[in-house]
Amino acid sequence: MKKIKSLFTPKKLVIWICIILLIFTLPTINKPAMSETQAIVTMLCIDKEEEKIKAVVTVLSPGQDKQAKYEVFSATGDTLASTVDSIALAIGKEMGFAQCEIMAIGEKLSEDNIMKTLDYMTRTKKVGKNAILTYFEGDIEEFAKSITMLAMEKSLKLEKIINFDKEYILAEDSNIESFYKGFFSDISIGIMPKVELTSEQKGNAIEVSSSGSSSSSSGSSGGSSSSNEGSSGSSDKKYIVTNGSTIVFKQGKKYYELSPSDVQKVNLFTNSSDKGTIIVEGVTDHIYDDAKVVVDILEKNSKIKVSFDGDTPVYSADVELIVFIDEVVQESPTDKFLVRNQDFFTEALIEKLKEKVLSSMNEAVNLIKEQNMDVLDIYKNFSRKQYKKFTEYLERVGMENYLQGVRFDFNVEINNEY
Amino acid sequence: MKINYKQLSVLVFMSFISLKLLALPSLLYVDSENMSWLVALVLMIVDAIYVFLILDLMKKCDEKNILEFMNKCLGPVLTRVFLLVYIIKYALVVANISKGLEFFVVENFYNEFNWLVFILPLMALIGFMTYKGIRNIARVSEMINLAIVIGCLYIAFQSFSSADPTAYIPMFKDGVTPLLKSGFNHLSWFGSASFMMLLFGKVDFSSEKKWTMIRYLIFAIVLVQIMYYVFYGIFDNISATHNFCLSDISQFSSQESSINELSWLIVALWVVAQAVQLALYSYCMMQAIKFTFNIKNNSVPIIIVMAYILIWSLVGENTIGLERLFFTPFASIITILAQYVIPIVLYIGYIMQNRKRNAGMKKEIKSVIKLNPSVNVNRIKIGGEK
Repeated sequence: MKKIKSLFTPKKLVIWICIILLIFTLPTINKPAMSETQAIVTMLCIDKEEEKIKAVVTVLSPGQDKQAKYEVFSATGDTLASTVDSIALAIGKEMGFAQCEIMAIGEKLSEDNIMKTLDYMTRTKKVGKNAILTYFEGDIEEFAKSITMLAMEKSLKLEKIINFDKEYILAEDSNIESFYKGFFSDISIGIMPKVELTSEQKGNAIEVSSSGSSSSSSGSSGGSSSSNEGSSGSSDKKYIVTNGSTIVFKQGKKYYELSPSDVQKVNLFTNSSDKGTIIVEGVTDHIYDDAKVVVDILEKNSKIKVSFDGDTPVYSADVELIVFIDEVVQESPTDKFLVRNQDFFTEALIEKLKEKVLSSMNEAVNLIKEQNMDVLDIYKNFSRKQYKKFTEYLERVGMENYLQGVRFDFNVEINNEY
Repeated sequence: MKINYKQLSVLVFMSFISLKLLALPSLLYVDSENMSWLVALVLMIVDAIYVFLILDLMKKCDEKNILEFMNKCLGPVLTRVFLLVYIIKYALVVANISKGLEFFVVENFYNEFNWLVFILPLMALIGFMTYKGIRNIARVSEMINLAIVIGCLYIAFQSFSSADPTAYIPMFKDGVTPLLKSGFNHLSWFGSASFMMLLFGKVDFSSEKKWTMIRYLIFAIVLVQIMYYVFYGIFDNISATHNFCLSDISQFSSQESSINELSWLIVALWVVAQAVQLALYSYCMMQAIKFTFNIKNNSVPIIIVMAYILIWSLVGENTIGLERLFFTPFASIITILAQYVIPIVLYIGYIMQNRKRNAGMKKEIKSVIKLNPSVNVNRIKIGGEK
């Protein structure tokens, strides 16, 4: 024991620490930089190409001149794992997904259950749990290059745009996490915002140039890979559209596309997205004369209650909107518009707004019933708050028809900003 | 060197929260789903009750250590058996913390990480802290305690509004059986008061304030419940896939946050807290080995404990079978014995021992009275320590 103790006197302890440090630090000095062995993937796009999985990754390469460079690589394979491995083999770097901020799912892939493909991401190469999940239409490579160019040319990042828009869109937390939650729920519904790449100018489009030159090589696992530096090559104009369209997935497959106006209607029920505008026309009273009034929603409080009226499930929504008048379009504005402290929030306007909101809510409900897609968490609300009665109800009508028998009651209150 | 009552309260607080905020919530969810919080609440309340039972025993131990006190109350054979149980219990907790720490660091901080680089210096630190004694561990716990609490609350309240309160209903959907099963299977994550058994004779009760321990215990239970509320509220039906409660909550709503790094700083601080817990249970394990095998100095048991941590770190990763053995019924039974049965047996042993002594004293007094009838019986104090 004394011998052991003598090995650990304070002076000898310092020597021991130095030896341990040398053991670990010397091999580390010899090692190459992490960025040389691992590719920092910032975006992963997945789609199908002739029954094979096609993956395109955007890789961030830290340059020596302190200017980061984005590069786009692609490959095809039988599974996502083999496809990603093909890219890794082609570029000689391991794929690191920890910094991946966007995962884009292509149109063709969405025709089948996308969870079959996404499974890989949960098992081995974990994408950050907050990576934005989005649906895209258009050519996968062009899409990836355009998004990359968007970041390089305009310093606009798609994930930031979607994050900003989340107060207006239905797919509030459009990340892998929330998609899993929806997919693994009893009704298996997930939602994703849609990003479209077009060659024509549309409403909310951002123009980007899509670069051209590319090279490809055969991959050992049956795939091929090509690379394209986002900063070079010839360019033609493309437009990225993020207008609030939302894709509803059922059992992992693309089921329905909610248009921006559908999304606005459905949003009236939710608290998560509390921004938007309401336009009413033909407002006539002591102030307005057949005016078109645009009001901005400042705040929205929606209280959802679920109950049973006998055997009928009742879904009640009390919606309170706090709005302010954004714009009044009238053929001949009167001098009343100039009066300060004038109460422009008239009874007639309120009635018109209520009418509009109620009809929007009814349209949303009709759409939901028609398409049999529960994007309002009706099932979740009933199964949690009215478990016993709802279970009995489900036994009676069946899982597929539960939406049809639900009665909806709405109550809308509109207040101005004060 | 003794610790004071407040330091003991801090150690109890840290022990109550340390194992609860990593893998436990996701593991509980597998069996008890949306009622997992209740399983944790009930078991933590039971642990809190035992804290007071053990505290009472500590006050009665008359400055004796656990070996001397058990020997006096239960005899040498039972003492050795019970101390062996404690060695296993602490070994399980040490394995649990070190393994949890490893997964936490590797999964959250470094993708390809040589765990040895981390564990060797950590072992040196833990070895040193263990060697220096319980006061050292208690002081470090005291230092980081407030930062840990503020950090946890900060992380919880960042995502508090995102938590869905309906995730907790309907209650008792599948009855009570899954909850009992879940509670039993995960008992080794509880029994947070068991470390106190090895601190007999090491606590100075002169500065004891009535409400200190109660306050710390209530706060520990409330803190864990707040974290669980947020965790199950935000992850809902996929809670079982989230292995690290604290870091996963912190990452849930931090994407847009510009103070994202602050969350990571807090998560990193949690690693320090876990390391201190590892030191605490290593200390208890070391003491238990020392008492069981009558080892006079601290060096040999410390080397045994450190070797155990090292072996566990080296071989544990691929021994899922071994882990299963450690963390299911076997571990639960050990916890039941260490935390719930032995303190009660010791208490009963103490009462019986006291009665025996009182009876002996009464006999003695009677014989004195027989010899000396003029002695006033009322003036002779019967029973008690003195």
